[in-house]
Parts: sequence; structure tokens; C-alpha cells
Amino acid sequence: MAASAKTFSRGSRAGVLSGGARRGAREGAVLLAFVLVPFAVEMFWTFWPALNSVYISLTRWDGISPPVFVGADNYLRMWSDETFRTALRNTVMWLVLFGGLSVLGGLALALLLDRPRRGVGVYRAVFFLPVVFSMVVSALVWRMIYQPDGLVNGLLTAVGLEDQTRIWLGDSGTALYALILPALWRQVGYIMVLFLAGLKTVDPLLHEAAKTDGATALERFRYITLPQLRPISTVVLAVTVIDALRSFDIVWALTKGGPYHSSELLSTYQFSTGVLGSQLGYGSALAVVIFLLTVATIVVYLVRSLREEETA
Amino acid sequence: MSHLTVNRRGFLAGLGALGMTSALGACATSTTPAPAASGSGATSKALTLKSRETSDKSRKAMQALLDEFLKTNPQYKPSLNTMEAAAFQQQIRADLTLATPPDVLTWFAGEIASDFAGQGLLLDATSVFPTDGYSPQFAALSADASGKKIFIPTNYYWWGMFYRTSHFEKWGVSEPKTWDEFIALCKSLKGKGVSPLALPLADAAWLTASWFDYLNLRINGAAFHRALLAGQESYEDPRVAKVLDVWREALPYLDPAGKGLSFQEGSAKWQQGKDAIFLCGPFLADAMPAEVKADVNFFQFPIIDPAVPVAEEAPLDGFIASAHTANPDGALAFLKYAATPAAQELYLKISENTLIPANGQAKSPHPTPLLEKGRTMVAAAADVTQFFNRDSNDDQLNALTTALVRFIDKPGEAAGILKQWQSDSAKARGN
Repeated sequence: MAASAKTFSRGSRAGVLSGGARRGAREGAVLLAFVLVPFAVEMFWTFWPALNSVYISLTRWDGISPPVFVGADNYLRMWSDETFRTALRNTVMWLVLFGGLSVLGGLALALLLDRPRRGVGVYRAVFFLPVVFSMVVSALVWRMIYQPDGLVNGLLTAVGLEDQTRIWLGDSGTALYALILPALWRQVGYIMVLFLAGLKTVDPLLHEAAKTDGATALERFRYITLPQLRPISTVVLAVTVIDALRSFDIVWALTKGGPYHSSELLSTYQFSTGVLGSQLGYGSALAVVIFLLTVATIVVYLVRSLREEETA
Repeated sequence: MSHLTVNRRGFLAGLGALGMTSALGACATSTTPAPAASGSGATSKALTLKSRETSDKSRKAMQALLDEFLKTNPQYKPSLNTMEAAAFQQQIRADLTLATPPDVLTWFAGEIASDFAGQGLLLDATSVFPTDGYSPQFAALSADASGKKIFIPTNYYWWGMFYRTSHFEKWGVSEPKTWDEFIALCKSLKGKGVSPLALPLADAAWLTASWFDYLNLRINGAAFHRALLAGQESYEDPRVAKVLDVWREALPYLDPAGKGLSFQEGSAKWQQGKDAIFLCGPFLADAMPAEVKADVNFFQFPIIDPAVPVAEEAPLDGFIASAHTANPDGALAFLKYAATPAAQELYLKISENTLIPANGQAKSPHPTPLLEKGRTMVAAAADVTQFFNRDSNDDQLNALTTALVRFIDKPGEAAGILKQWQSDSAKARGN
């Protein structure tokens, strides 16, 4: 970077001395360097290892002995792998519940806290606070809440619902949902801030005009607020999909995917097979699948929204 | 790039970014191990000991070993490199294949060490392995398939049914010897309003392996246990189903809150007497106050079939040396020293761990009745196993915890669980 900066300053001085054409060429070279250097760094540190893991996914490898090329075996194995199917199902569930509810909740909160009101800043801060905490710290707090004699069971017992108490994180039927809740608790605040920023761009005059024309609050939301929020919605959806598919920390900190894989996500399954275990080939194949899922979801969405923008 | 993100979080979980980079580098570039240094006339005098013992006292004890070693071997330049245990475990595969590996490493006896040896990654330590001092079981556990010694055991612990003497007195119960007596004891404890068995699973599902190991050892014996773990027998074998059948008798006495408790919470509950018995190692009481430690006692896992020779779990810790070391003479000299009673006593004197020196001629520097009871039990055993994941590997342990936690939850589905277990186990093995 230092070298490019130097070239640039020298280039501009030369430009002053000898004029247009040479100056353009030098700046072109500088610009090219600005593009190529980060590109090379990215290639080396991101794409090259990523390509490597694609290769590793075609091998059987324990990390020590030479890898054995097995073709698509690792991918075929997924079809018959019960845990993979559970993890895939849970990931889809996670995407729908965590993604859907955090967008709805974030939008609702943003609408509620958008209007200037006494102490609205405090409320915004309160809802945003979980985003600031490290997820692992949040997990510790939620662990205590979910404990066998923790807050949730204590409350249920206090209101006479003893038969509803259970070991939330240790029960295969409730573990996944018990994990989605803290993840939502955090994500809602984040989405709220994004939508709040979006709402600031909505022209209040439009609302005024609509009100004068006799539009109800619901109609104004449907025909003014929502269309105006479209650019920010694209960002929110992309962020949500990415966050949902890469969710890992809360699950790992609370259940590690257990009990018996009932709260396993693709990300945690990949980690425990490829990183903690010694099945680097299968682990890499799982990573490739997660990658493809993410890219596919994002691309489908981006293509759709770009097309809409063009037609609009 | 989502899978990279996952990897990045992996770093946070303890790998260290550089560690993984070197692992990735290794995967992309060095699929062929560097040539072994032995015989190549390498002449380095530096001697790096890489340790996963991170507690303050253990670190001091490890350094004391090196200092003492230096007194008699002043020609070497030893240095200690301590790494957090999980990261250490993660990196050892890369470490042993490096061209300039750490010379000596802390490790444990069992399948992984044998695997390393099978791939030619470990230095042959036969020449420095003492001819007497180690029991035949420990000597066998230190050898690879060809009989070459590749591991120097330094200390071990044991597994047993831990309880608090004062609590047992208060409840008016005593140690059982057989499985039937054990079940009767659990029943009587439950009748007194005490939860009989602690088994916290929230972050320690691996503890289920201790129950499986012992039940299998008591019912089917050590030979079958080893064959099963090595993949030569199937988990769908009726003998494994028998293990679950016997265990089912004890399941009603497990603390039902256990599946939501962490190991720490579970041991606290046991300490307070809310759970009576904990199948565990002596490390259970490591962090407890002195008056609790003095009150801790254990009994041997009850005998189920008197015809089966008694085997005990006694996980052995010790040292290995890398085959690619640049200083094989120094590494062997250190291993030779580490095998001596003096070195093992010195280490335990400073580390103050509840461990027994592996060399039979060494004495416990802080002897307690508990340690002596443990030592006597292991010495009397006809066979010694390590622990499920030490005798197999962590992928197999994953398959086990999945099966057994599910079994605790749904004891009626044993057949389906064993079928799944066999399939998971075979897949993890790659066949």
C-alpha cells in the first residue's frame, strides 16, 4: 500500500509538469494497483483456501496421512446421513423462523420507535443492547434462564404450570426453539436499527398528503412506507439470510448441536466433523454445501430485486 | 463465503488463526511427510517440549522437569511451549508432520498414539524405556503394533463411583460390590429422597462413555471392548444390546435434571449431596475445598458377571517424541529422564494433581487414602483400558454420545439406536 501511495504522489507531480496524457496513464496504473493488490490478497487468503476446501471435499483425509481421492463419495454420503438431513431440516427451520421473525419483529419495533416520543431513545437503546453483547456472554445468561431450576421453570411453577416445566436445552423437542429465542432476541435489535435508518428516508409529506386524502394508517403503511423501504429491505433480507445460515455461536455455546443432534445446524455439524473430528474430507464437503446454499439464496434474491428495479 | 466464516469461528473456539493457516498450508502443500531426521545426522541442541498442561502449578512442574533435566544434560537447550489443551489437540496432527516439529510433546496412551506410530510420526523410544518399573499393562500400552515403545507414561488416574463418606454415613448406606447391590442402593437412596446418580450432560455428554465402557468391560470383557472400538465387532451385536439392557435398570436412578446441567453444576450438586454417586475420575474433586476433598471416597464399578476378568479404566498420560525431531538424542535423553521415578515424583509434587505416578517404583509425593485406594484397584485389575475416546477417537466418541444420550431419553428404542450407532461409527471410520 505504501508503494502505491508513493507512486500516486509522484504520478500527480509528474502530471503537473508534463500534462494530460501521461497523467492519465499513471493514474490508470495506480487505480489498477488499487484493484489488483487487494484482489491478490483476497485471492491468496480467501479464495485459494476456499478452492482448496473444494478439493479436500473430494477426498477422504484425516489430516495426517495423504488424502485419498474419492470423487463425489462425500456428497453421496450426505444422502444417507441421518444427521445431515436433521441438520439441513433444522437450518431451513432456522432460516424461516429466525429470519422471518427477526424481520417482522425488527420492522414492528422500528415502526413503533420511529415517532419522536419521550424516552424513545432509551427504548431504542434497550432493544439494541443485545447486539452489543458478545453472543457467548448472552449464551451464558440464557443458560441460566433455561436451567432445570432456572427462571423459565421457576416462573412456570409460580403460576401453577409445573407440568409444563422441562429441561429446555436438554429436551430434543424444545432445544432448537430454545436456541432460536436468544438468537432472535439479539437479531431483532439489529434489524430494528436498519429499518429505523430506512424509515428516516421516507418523505413525511407523502404521509401528510395521504392523510389528507383519507388513507387509513394501514393503507399508508402498505402503499407508502413499504415501497419506500424497498432499498433497505434488500439489505435486510441479504443480511438475514447470511446471518441465519452462518448462525453458529449461540448453538455451539448452549447445546453444541445436542441432545443427539436435535439442534444441529449445518454449521455446527460441519465444525464438529471437519474441525473437531478428523474427517476433513466430509467436513469440507459440508462446508461447500453451506457455501452453495448461501450463494444460491442470495443470488436468487439479488437477481429478483435487480429485475424489479429495472422494471420499476 | 459462509463456510469460511464458520472456519473463522472455529479459530475463536480455540484454534488460533495461525494454527489453522498452517494446517491449511499443510493440506495444500505437504501431503508427503518430511523425511525422518533419525540417521540424517541432524545436530540441533535445542529441545522444545510442547505441553497442554495449562494450570499454573502444572506449568511450573513441567518447567521444573526441564530444569532438573538440564542439570544432568547441560549440552541441550530445553524450552517449554504450553498451549491450551483443545488447541493443542487440534494442532498435534499438524505439529507431527511439520519439518521442524516440537521435539517432545505431552500425549496419552491409546489409539491415536498408535495411529501416529503407524504413520511413522513417532520416535522409537524402546532404547530408553525402563526394563522394570512399569506394569506389564502399562508397558503394553506404551508400544505400537510392532512392539516398539513409542510412549513414556508418567502418570495416570482411575475411574470409580465417587461419593462423600459423610453423606453415606448420614444416609446409613454402604459401598455395594455387585450390580444387584448397586441397584438396591440406588433404590434405597431414592426412597430417602436423594437423587442417586449424577450424570450432567449439558456440556459433558462424553461422560456417558464412562458408563458404556464400564458396563461393556464388566459384561463382555476387555477383549470384546477393544475389538468393538476398533471396528472389528458391530454395535448391533446382541452383546452390545445386553449392555444397554443392563444399563436400563439404572436409568430411573439418574438425576433427571442432569441433561440440563453442565459438568460444573453437576459436580456442585454432587458436592452438596443432592446427587449421591458420580461415576467419574478423581478430577471431580480437584477444585473443591480441602475439607470436601478429605471426605471424598469411591467404590469400584460394581461386578456384573463374576466370570469376566475385572478390567479398570486407567487413562495414562505421558510423553511422545516426534520422528522428525532435529534433536533425536536430546529427545530420547529427556524421555529417559521422564520415565524415572524421581522425575514423576517431582512433577506430581509441584503440580499437586490427584494423579498416580505411572512408574511403580515412584511414590506419591502427596499420598492420600484415596490415591492409595485407586492405585490398589488399578494394580489388582486383570486388564486396563484408557477411555472410550482414548481407545478409539473423537469421531467415534461423537457417535457414542449421540446414541447414548438418545438412549437415556428413549430407552425403549434401543434397537434403532444401535443400528444408527453402527452406521455412524462405520461412516466416521470411512467404510
